[in-house]
Amino acid sequence: MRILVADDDPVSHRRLESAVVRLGHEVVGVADGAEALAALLRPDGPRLAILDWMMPGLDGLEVCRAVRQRAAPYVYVILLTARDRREDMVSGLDAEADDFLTKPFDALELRARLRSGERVVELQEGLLRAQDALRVQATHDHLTGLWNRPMILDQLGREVHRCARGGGALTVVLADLDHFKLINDTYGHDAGDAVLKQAAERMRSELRDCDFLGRYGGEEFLLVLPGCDAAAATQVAGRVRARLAAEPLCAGKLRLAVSVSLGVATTSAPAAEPDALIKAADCALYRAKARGRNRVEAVAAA
Amino acid sequence: MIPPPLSAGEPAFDAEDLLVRVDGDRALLVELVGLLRGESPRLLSDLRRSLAANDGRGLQRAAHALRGSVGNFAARPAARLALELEAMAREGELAGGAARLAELEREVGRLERDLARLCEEPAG
Repeated sequence: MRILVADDDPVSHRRLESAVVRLGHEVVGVADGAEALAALLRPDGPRLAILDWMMPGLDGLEVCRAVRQRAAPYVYVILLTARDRREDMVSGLDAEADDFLTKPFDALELRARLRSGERVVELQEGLLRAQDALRVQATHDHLTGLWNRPMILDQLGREVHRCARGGGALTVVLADLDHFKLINDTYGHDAGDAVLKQAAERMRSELRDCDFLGRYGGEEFLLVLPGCDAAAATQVAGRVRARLAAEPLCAGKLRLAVSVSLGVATTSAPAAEPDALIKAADCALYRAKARGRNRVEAVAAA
Repeated sequence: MIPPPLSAGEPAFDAEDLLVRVDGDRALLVELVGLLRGESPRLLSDLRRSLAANDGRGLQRAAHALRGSVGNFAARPAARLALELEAMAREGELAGGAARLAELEREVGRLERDLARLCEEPAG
């Protein structure tokens, strides 16, 4: 792994660096505390640091304290010290150092201490990965990768709030795949799932980075378009409709012609409540279905 | 009167320990000796300056740094003298400091000469 070695004494620095490299690690070498801190705070900075206690400018304790201000990722800190008095050990632990290495260090001891450090760093990386995976699972729709229902409603709430404060327009679109139940009943759920995934991708490709797209229900999608007035929103919805209808979707060897009906509701400051916006979009969607599907209908929300 | 060196009879460094410390790597040893020779004049002059200025903190810091540096060579006499100087500085007892510093300077000189000699020895 990459290990930061910070020591202002060139002799100790070189010997330590050589020993760490010999143990199969990569060394990021610095000669003072300020450099050490800068290297450790970089997003891809080393996760394990051997800091000399006594350095000009920031000393090892100060670097350690500063690194601990950041929540994640964790940096495992080994303090390098010629001090072996008890009160020094206590102030090192108070600064939240993880371990100590006495100068002049012993190679076997170094190896053992680096191993403990590596174990802790790996443990934490595993936990962070699991946490990220859980966060994605909790906020995204498993099948399409879009925001799930609670999250898209959350985004809508935030955008309504922003619109109410900052003015401007806000549009909500409900999009429902036409005759989706028929696809499921005729070709099975695998085909239905494939259709949902590709439909989601096509919709996404017609939106801006600042737009939000979520799976609202079975075959129903919710689009939140910040800053979009009625005319612009109707255009976007029209593009989404056209993109879906342009060519059949693939489900295994099947080619399935799929269309979508869209209901558009636009508001401007003071913005309508999220519920009212969705209800209005739902009314427009109902009208699009009633008027023959594969079309866009728009209403202005209060 | 100059007191007899504390290190009389004791080698400047423990050759066996030293080889363990550099993991038997002679090229590394040569490199480290070069670094010490580059670094020691600055540290010794820091010590002299701090002592002349009665700067206990500065003296303590420089003695500590020198102790760390020579420690890499298993140089016990030099490390011991640096530690004594560091302790004197910490306690604010600088009276015998000049004599101890003179000893330390001689000892560092001997250490560097003996290390240079070791580096010149044919390997094996």
